[in-house]
Formats: sequence, C-alpha cells, structure tokens
Amino acid sequence: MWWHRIAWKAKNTLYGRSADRQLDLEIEAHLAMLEEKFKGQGMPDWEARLAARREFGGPEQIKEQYRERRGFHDLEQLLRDLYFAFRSLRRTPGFTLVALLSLALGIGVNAAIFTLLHALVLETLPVPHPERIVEVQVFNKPLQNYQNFFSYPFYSEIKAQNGIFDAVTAQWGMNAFQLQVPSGETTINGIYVSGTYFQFAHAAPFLGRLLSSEDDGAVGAHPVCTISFQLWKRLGADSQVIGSTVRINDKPLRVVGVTQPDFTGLSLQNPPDIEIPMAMVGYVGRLQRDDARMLWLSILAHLKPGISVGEASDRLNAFAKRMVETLPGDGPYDRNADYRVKPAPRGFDDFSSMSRPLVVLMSAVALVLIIALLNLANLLLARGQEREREIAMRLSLGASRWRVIRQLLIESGWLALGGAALGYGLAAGVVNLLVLEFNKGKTYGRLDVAPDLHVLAFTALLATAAVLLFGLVPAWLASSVHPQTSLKGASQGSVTQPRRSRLRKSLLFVQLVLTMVLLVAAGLFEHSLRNLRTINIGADPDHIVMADLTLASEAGKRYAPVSLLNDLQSRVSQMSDVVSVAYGVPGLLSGAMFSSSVSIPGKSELSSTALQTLFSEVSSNYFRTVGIPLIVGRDFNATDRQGSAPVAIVNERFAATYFPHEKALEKQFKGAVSGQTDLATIVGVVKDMPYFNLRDSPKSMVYRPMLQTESSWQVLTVRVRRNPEIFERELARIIHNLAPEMPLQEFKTVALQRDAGIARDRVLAILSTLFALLGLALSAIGLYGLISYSIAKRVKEVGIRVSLGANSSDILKLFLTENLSVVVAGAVTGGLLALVGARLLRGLLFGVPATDASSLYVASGALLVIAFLSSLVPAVRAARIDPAEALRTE
Amino acid sequence: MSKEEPSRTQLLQGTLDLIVLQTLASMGPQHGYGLAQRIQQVSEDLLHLNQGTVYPALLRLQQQGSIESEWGTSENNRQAKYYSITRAGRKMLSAETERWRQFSGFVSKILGNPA
Repeated sequence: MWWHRIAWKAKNTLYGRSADRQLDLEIEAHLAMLEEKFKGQGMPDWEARLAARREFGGPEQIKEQYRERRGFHDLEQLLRDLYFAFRSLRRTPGFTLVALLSLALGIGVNAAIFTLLHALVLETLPVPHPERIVEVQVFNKPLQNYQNFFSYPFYSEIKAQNGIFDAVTAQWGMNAFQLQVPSGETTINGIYVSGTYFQFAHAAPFLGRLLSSEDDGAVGAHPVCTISFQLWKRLGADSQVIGSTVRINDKPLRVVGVTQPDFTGLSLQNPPDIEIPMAMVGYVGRLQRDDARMLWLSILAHLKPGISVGEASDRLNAFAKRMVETLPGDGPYDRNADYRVKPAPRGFDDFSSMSRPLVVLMSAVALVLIIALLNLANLLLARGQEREREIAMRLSLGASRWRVIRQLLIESGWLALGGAALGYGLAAGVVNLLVLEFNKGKTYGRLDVAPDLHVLAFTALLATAAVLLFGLVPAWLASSVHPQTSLKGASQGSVTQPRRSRLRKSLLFVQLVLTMVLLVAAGLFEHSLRNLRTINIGADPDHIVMADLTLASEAGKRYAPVSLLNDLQSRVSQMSDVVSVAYGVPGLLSGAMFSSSVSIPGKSELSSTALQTLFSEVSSNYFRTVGIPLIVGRDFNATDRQGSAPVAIVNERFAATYFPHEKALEKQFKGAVSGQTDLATIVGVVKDMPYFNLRDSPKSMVYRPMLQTESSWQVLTVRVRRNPEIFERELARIIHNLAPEMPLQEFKTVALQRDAGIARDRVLAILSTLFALLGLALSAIGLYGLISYSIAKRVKEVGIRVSLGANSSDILKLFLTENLSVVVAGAVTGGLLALVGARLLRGLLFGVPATDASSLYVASGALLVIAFLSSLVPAVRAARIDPAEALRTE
Repeated sequence: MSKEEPSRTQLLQGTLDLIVLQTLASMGPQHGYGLAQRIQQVSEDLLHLNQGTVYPALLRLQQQGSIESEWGTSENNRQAKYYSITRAGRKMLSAETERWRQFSGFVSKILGNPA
C-alpha cells in the first residue's frame, strides 16, 4: 500500500496550497458544528466558541501535524535545512574560509597522492587474473640486484617450457624511433614485441589486425607494424591506413592494424606508439634477434592456476640453469646466476620503486588530513559553543535533538562538499606539478598521470568520512546544552565548558604530535637528499654538459664518424668559457650501463667465478673533463688507437679486487669489450666514481680508449666555466653546422642527469616538506584559534586581573604560557613517535640514521617557534584589553 | 522536556486508527465532527481526546488507502468532507482487530494471573 502513500504525497506536494485550504475548511466546519452543539446546550456565544476550541485542541498544531504527514515533509525540511545551513555559513565568513581551506588542503593532498598511488601501484593490467602475471628476473652479480634483460633464444626456451606458465611474452621497450612524416621527422616511442604479445594482453584491434606469432617468425620476413590509436590520429586518422607504409628509422614498414584507444601495451605508463615484431629488430635497428649473447628483451609470464610464485621461481631456476648451458655463445651473465619470477600485475612497470615511497607519502597525507580535520573539529566545537543560545532556543521551541544534530551535520556537509571540490582541484594542480618535477631531465620512464574517476570517488569518500567522523562529535556536544541553564545564564559559564575546553586542548595536542612526526620525516628526507646531492660525482656537475651524438636515420651511417668527432672536439674547445672537451659512453649517471666479464691470466681462482665488471669507453682528456682524479699511471692519448697495444685504465675498486696485494699498473686482463680477446694492459688507476646509480657502493670499473673499441655511440662531454644554458645554444649551432643531418640534441648537465636518477628522493623530500609545512600551518591556525577563543571567553577575567594590578606583560605571559605545556608535550611525544616511525623509512633514506638528531632539533625548533608566534598575536591583543571596557562586556 | 511523549502518542495513534476504522465500518460515511462525537460517545469519556487529533489519523488512513473522502453537505447544510471505509480498510480492520484481541487477551491474562 506504499504506492497509495507515495501517490498521495506527490499529489499533495504539487497541490499543497489547495490541500491546506481544504483542511482549513474542514476544521472551520468542525469548529462551527461544535459551537452549535454547545450553543444548543445553552451556552452563550462567546463561551460556546471557547469551548469548541478547547474541545478541538490547538488547530495550528493539528495543521502542522497534518502537514508533516501530508507531503514529502522530510524532503521539504531537508531543503530548508540545507538552505539554512548555507546561510548560517555565509554569515560567518571567517570560520567558513578557515574550515574550507583546512578541508581543501587535507583532502587535496590526499587525492593527489592517491592519484599517484592508484596510477603507479594499485592499478593492474586489464587482463584476466593480473595477480598471476610475473616478470622473469636474473641476479646480476656486479650490480648486486635482479635484472630483467634476456636474449631471444632464452625467451624461446622459456616459452616452450609450458609446465609453469600458461602464457609467455617478451618486449623490448622504450625505443625512440624516428618516424618520417611529410613535414620531416618526429620521435615516437616504439617497442619490439614477440609474437605472443597481443594475445597475452588480451587486446583487440581497432582497425585491421594485431601482430601474431607468424609476424615474429623468420628473421626479416615480415616488415609490418601496428600503430596506436593516438599515433593514427596524429597521422590524420586515415581510414585507409591498413596496408599503408610508414618509414621508421628510414625503413619502410607496412601498417597491419591500429590498437584500441585505451590500449597502453603491457605497461600502464608510457604507452607505445608503434609495435614492431622482434623478427624485424635487425632490419630497423642493428641487433640480431637470435644472438644468444645479446640481452635486450624483458619477459612477462602468466602463471598456471595453482602455482605459487615461490614454486614457479624454484622450477624456473632449475630449468633455466640447465637450459642456459645449451644456449650457443657466451652470454654476459654468470652461468650460475639465480633466476626467479616476481609478481608483476602491472606488467612492465618502470615505477615499482615508487610503491614504498607512495605508501609512506600516503601515510603522511593521512596525517595532514587528520590535522586538518582536528582543526575543523576544533572550529566546530567553538562554533557550537558560540551558538549555545541559538541551539538552546531551537531545542526549547520543540526541535528534537536529532534535528539539531542534523542541522549541524548539514553545515559540515556543505563544508565537506566545498572542501572536496576545492581539494579535487588542488589535487589536479599538485599532481601536475609533481609530474613536471618527476620528469625533469628524463627521456624515458616519464610519468603521465592525472586524477580520474577513481580519485573522484576517493575524494568523495574521504569527505563523507570526514563529516561523519569530525562533524558528529561537535554536533553531539553542541546539542547537549540544557535550554534552561543556557538561556538563563550568560553565554559563558556553561556546564559543559570545562569538558569542552579539555577536549579542544587534547585535539590540539594530537595535532602537534602529528605535525612533529611530519616535520621529523621531512627533515630525514631532506637530509637524505642533501647526502645524495653531495656525493662526489666529479668536478662541478652543474657545469658539465653532455650531448648524445646519434646520427639519425641514414642507413649505415647511424653514428658519428671519427673525423666528425675530431672536428667537433677542436671547434668546441675553442669556444669561450670551455674548460675541457672529451667523449665518453655511457654518459655519467645517464642510466645506461655496460657490463662484461673479465679474466685475468694466472688468476684461475678468480676467473672460475666469471668476474663481472662495469666498463666505459672514453676519449683522452675524459678524466680531466669530468673531474675523476688519476691516481697513478697515465691518461689515454692519441696513440691508443686501433692497431696499437690494447690498454685500459681501471678504478681503485678494480685494482683492490683483482690485485689486492700488488700494483695494478702494467698488469693485464682479458674482456671488458665485446668481441675482443686481446689482453689489455692497465696503464692507469683512477678514483672510484658513481656510474649507474648514486646509491650503489663503488663497483669495479674498467675504462677503455674509445679509439680502440670502435664505440658505436658517443656522448660529447664538455666542462664549461659558466652559463651552461647559453653554451648549449651555441653548441647546438656548431653541431648543426658540422653535421646538418644530426637531429637536434638534448643537452643535459651532469647535475640534471643526477637529479633525474634521484627523482624519487627529490619527490619524497619536496612532498614531505610540503606536507610538514601544511601540518605546521594547520596546527598554527588551530593554536591561534584556541587561544583567541580562550581570550574572548576570559575578557572579564583579564579586566579583573588588570584592575587588581596585573600589568600587560603579566597578561601576555598568562596567555603565552597557557598552552605551553601542550606544545612541549606535543613536541616530545611527536619526537618519540617519529623516532619509532622512522624505522619504517629505512631503505628510502641515504646515509641518514633513523635517529637523526639534526632532523629532530630542526623539527622541534620549527614547532616551538610557530607555536610561539601563533600564540603571540592573540596574547598581545589580550594584553591591550582595556579593563573598563572588559568589565562592562556581558 | 518531552521525552516520554512519543511513546504515548504512538500507542494512541495505533488505537485511534483502529477506532476510526471501526466507527466508519459500523456507521457508514462520516465527517470529522461526526466521527469525533461518536468516538467520544462510545468511549463514554473514558478516552478523552482533542477532537482535532482525528484529522491526522484520517490523513494517515487515507494515505494507507484504508479510507477515502468526498466533499458533501452536512445535516445542517454545511460543506464537510465525508470519509468512508474502503475494501482494503475493512481487510485491515479485521486483521488489526484480531491482533488487538490477541494482544489485549494476552495482557489481561498476565494482569489477571499475577505471579
């Protein structure tokens, strides 16, 4: 029968007026009939009318009761409450502004970090059972970590071994291809894929077909590719694209398909523009697919149901160890290396190292939010107290307690809504800035995220929880006034006052504790970043400019010839402000790495363990240019060229590892250059220098002369005296004049390169500092508010004190020290908590003990200073109170 | 100040609905005044209620579809709204009456046999 009720209510909401009118008539008639009845009993007119009224009861109450039942009364009431709450917020703009800002900041930073957390950690590949996707890895001895590069024959064997996995695929990602378009060339992000790639990704074509195992069959047989929806758009969204030809690095490839708009490849960031079968890698580039010595591709596999990661690792390890023995050639990896699989629900993920930092940051923003919400709760408590009279009035006029609480909750709801909207906007801005900062100096592994629907939902959830949690208690307290006492008495001296002020103080205490924790964490991260930045990476990293000299697209002439290099070197060395010019690959901290095994004659006990070392190919003058001190021996020179006796310079670590008790100079070893079997003689020893990763402890290293190794890749390395930016522009012109076919280069200083390598640490330091400052600002507002409020409540007391002889400095002291104990207790508790919590940051910090005293001092100093300042302003105001004025106020 | 009131009206409301339905069922269509008079008469002033309270009850019953209303003219030529019980109302009345009997029987049993 509920439909009756709904229909009735709907009708009455629509025709509310006429229903009111009908009721009036009905009641009128009723009263008249009663009156007549009493008149009939012999009452005089006036008495009959009164009696009729008495008999009927209050007509207005009846009407109100009637109305409540009649329409969608709750809805009407809700709308009224919404409007009323909105108006009452507008009446107190100061409160509303601070509350909104607190909420917006708290919610905004949470939404921002959640955006990153979702995009970089939580999201998984859109395939069935992403939790069963694993990446194949092998332990790399020289770097002491797991690597994920393998040869194609290795991949083929793993794929054929079908006991562990139900699908296996491989890709070689992050290739910058030159795509010829009518207007010239454009750089696109391309990947080489194995035949199982699209099947593994459960992808469907948008147009045409996707690549299959047949395309990855015989080497060089299928010059085809698929392109992304986005590239297809960029190329003009031609519906006849299938069967057309694109030229990649000047090699024609037939487009057989376009992927779906939302296809991001087997990774969630940096979607590829183009996919090329691995069988064509020697056609577009220079790699030989079936060369077992070339480690270039990464392997993803999908575990068979019921096989755990541990079991898969064990079985893979056993299988791979046996299998590599049968592979042809002499792979650069240790034959005893251990293999494993690692869960990779996000596929090929460049951001796995961000998951722990993001969890840490998420905890930090949770603290910021709590601080902000405590502010809000504190404000709402004060507001409730201010409005005691209003609330008492409403209660005595018949409003139920629930109605009052609801009213107050609706106000918090408005605040939450506004805070969430502002916060979401703020999050978009913060994420944008973060992405810019993170991508600074990066060509690969760039970040591309923005808040999406998940983030919106998260924000809404957060705001709702905020209202319920932090709006409810103040509302409950505010509605607990006793109408009589409150209306009778002045606005102060209510029964609940001491209880509430104690509550407000404990809220402040919690705020201070959390702020202190944030401050210490920020101190630790800043300290760690400072440590990383002060690692010696040669002389003057800000003034060493590196430029990658890769010639574009001309077949057979992909790399700069020696004559060009010589010309360039002499031209550049004549430029003003240039200190020194050299070549060297890979560039310092460029993220690239050469590694190789070496063997040393007469040291069989060493060579049996397949010695691994890192190496670099450099020109003469390189050490002077980048500032690596030569300890003994000589630098390379023009005589160290093709045909002369092979020479090498090693670092101290190499000397200490392989020649522990003897001089390394003049000793000989084999290796450290692919394909070379001649013994190289050590002609010099240089200082250790970070090579690949700033955090790594020094590894043994070999430098070989560029002219002897026929390097296929050169990085021009120039040390300038000042203004690297101006120099870069001039350099670009010189390179263009010498070699017009060379594409425009990206110049990077070593400092930029270093910073790109520690993007995670920079982001952690910046964000933790930002959050700590936010926490500090919010706590300052909280403290300021608390003291101002307490002063406002105690104006009279101040007046009495002053008239009894207290001078203004006494009053100042009174209010300055009022919260001193809370501040000190907060700082101490927060400090202790931070000491315990800092253990969780281990591994994210560099060279900073978790019990870092300096962070603790700075943090407590900052907290005390801010606490002092935010108490000072209201306290000074209190000290200026005129006793006569004060005593007159109610 | 008004903490116990809800439970009292609650009880009254339920019973008042039942009484209104029973009255309409036994006497045929009635206007609000007639209904109130009748109820007072029958209860012999045991149940004293403000006559106005029948109106919210009448509305409630209309919303449930137990009664329907129609404007008409009273004995002494007044415009009045006449209420009559519907089929659904009769069904509800018998169900509610049965429940009430059970309930009151149960209560009097307990009250009649003190432990």
